[in-house]
Amino acid sequence: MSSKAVDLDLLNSFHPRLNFSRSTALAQAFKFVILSTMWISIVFGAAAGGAVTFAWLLPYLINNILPNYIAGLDPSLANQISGIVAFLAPTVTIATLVPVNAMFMVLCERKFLALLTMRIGPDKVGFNGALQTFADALKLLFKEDIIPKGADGLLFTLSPALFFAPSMIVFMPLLSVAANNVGIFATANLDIGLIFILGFASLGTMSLVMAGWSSNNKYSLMGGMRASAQAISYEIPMVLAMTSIIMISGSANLFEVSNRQVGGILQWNIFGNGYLPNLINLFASQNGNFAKGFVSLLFIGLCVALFLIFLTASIAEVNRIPFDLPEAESELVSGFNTEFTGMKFALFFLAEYTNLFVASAVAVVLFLGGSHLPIDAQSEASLLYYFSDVTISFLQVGTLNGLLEHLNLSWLFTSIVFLLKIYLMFLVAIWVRATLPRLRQDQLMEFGWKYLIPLTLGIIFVVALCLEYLKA
Amino acid sequence: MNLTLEKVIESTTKPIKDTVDGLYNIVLGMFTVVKHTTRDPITTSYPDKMPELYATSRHRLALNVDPETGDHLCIACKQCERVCPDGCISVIPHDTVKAKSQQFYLDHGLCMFCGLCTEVCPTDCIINTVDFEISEQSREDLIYDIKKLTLTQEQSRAYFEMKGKVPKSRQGKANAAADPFTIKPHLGGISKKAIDAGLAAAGVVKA
Repeated sequence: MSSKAVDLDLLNSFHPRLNFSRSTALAQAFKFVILSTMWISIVFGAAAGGAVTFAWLLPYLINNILPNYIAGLDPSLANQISGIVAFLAPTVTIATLVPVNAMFMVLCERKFLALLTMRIGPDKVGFNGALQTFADALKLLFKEDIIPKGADGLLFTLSPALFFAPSMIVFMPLLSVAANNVGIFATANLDIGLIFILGFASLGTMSLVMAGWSSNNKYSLMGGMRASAQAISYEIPMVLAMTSIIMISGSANLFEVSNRQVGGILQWNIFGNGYLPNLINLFASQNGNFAKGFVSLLFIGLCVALFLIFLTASIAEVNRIPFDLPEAESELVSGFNTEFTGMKFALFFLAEYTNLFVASAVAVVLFLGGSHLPIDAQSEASLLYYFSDVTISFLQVGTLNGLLEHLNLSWLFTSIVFLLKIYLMFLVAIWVRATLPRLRQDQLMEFGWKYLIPLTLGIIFVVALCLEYLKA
Repeated sequence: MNLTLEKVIESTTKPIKDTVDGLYNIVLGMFTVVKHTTRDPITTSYPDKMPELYATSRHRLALNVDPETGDHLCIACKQCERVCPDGCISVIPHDTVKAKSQQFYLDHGLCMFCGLCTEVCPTDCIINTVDFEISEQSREDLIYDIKKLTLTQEQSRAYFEMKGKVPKSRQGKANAAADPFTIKPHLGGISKKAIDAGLAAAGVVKA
């Protein structure tokens, strides 16, 4: 559609309001980048603000400033109170991160999907649509809350909450990775981190069946059944892929898995955890060990395959295209969340994007280097060391003396890098959504049970053999 | 079942081939989608920006004046009123002056924007403009009179240029004959001889 048919200047002269023009792809991409930067800083600010306030500022105020205002305050009591407040810091971080993050993710998906499909996406509410999710949430809040006749009232009201709660709980081990195990966030560092995440992620499946059954609607029931079948069948390849990574890293502790990938891109688990340079052995015929090169090639190929399998399985777990038949708008009248209106629907929606965030986060930790910068180990260690004991002396004022001394700011780098990597994985998930059509239920189940599970089982075996050879 | 070596080899290599083939196609699809990022978005942000409309799009009707002299082009021939399927046009000829209309009512509520009136007008007076924002608060406000319908001289000139036409009064006899699809209203009926003469002048070879 060129402007050969009409002369735009001539047409624009007919009416003062006429403005015949069209946007360009470059302008839209630029606006998207600005919008994302704005929102990512808001998300990071909210989460970091909550963490910093509860872990550092409030304990300091309770310990040092409060006794000046309350006469008979026992110092040990103030200590206990500040300890409790500090202990709440991870919870508050999650509570501030999840809603703000979901707001950004919904908007980012719509804008990025529009960019990939030659459209513009929402751009009327706020700058380039920045407040769109806020407007959507407000609209859903004002909608009438309908419980269908014959629906099981208790289960109907409980299922959105039960779907949303595990999404927030599984954030816990990821916080320690993001915050570089600093301060109170070391308590969030679970040795069974990966298994914790898997366990709580499985809780969401139950609420899908609850939602479908309690709606008193045969289409919702079908959607709920399909959703739970899909969830349990794709959990298995996900767990088996994770098992291989646990074998490679030697621990189920997320912080440990992340730390094994320090030292640049070559150390990432997707590239074989540092065995990529061994591929030179395939070509150097004199002082090379061909068998070592071959096994390294096999190992790296398997790591890439593991990444793809894990990505596929987690996309299926969070009910995302191409695996979103349970909630497909055109197939099943929105599946299991047909009868949910207003805030209940908003909770399902929010929880879905939060699940996707967690799935991307786990993929980043397991395969893409966790929270470490893509620079070599020495520089990163010295950078973090330099920032782990910062004293800002010129901002010390009066009663706040001693507040800004010996701060550990190394978490700034790791959390920003972690967040950016997670959003990059999220963009890849949107990219996949823009490309692939939906899988039918039987195609879905066949793919999961007949292809992915035997494949991952075989991969565990071969990875174990490769590791034994390479480490010997 | 016949278990031959070929079948065994095929059954082991087929899943691998299918996987590679599938992965290749998915990656190909994903890169195609990335290519679409470089294309301009086709969304028109109405109402901030008006959509591009072709010169021949049929929206609000208007009456032209002569771009050179400024005279009203309507000769009150009532052809538009005759041909209109909805009967939404009312032409009231002038009492005293010949070939001039005193009042011209066009009900846009009844109008179906078929463009027949613009096709039959002998002077290219009534035209379809590209303006589609004609919502009013009441049905009576949609009945346009001659004041509301008539365009200014500059607008008329612009529309003639946009549609690539010259006012029929200015077209020479040769130009008029060259256009075999111009219906010239003949009050006594059109004879076969006139039709053949017209077609021959246009160079249309009879079968």
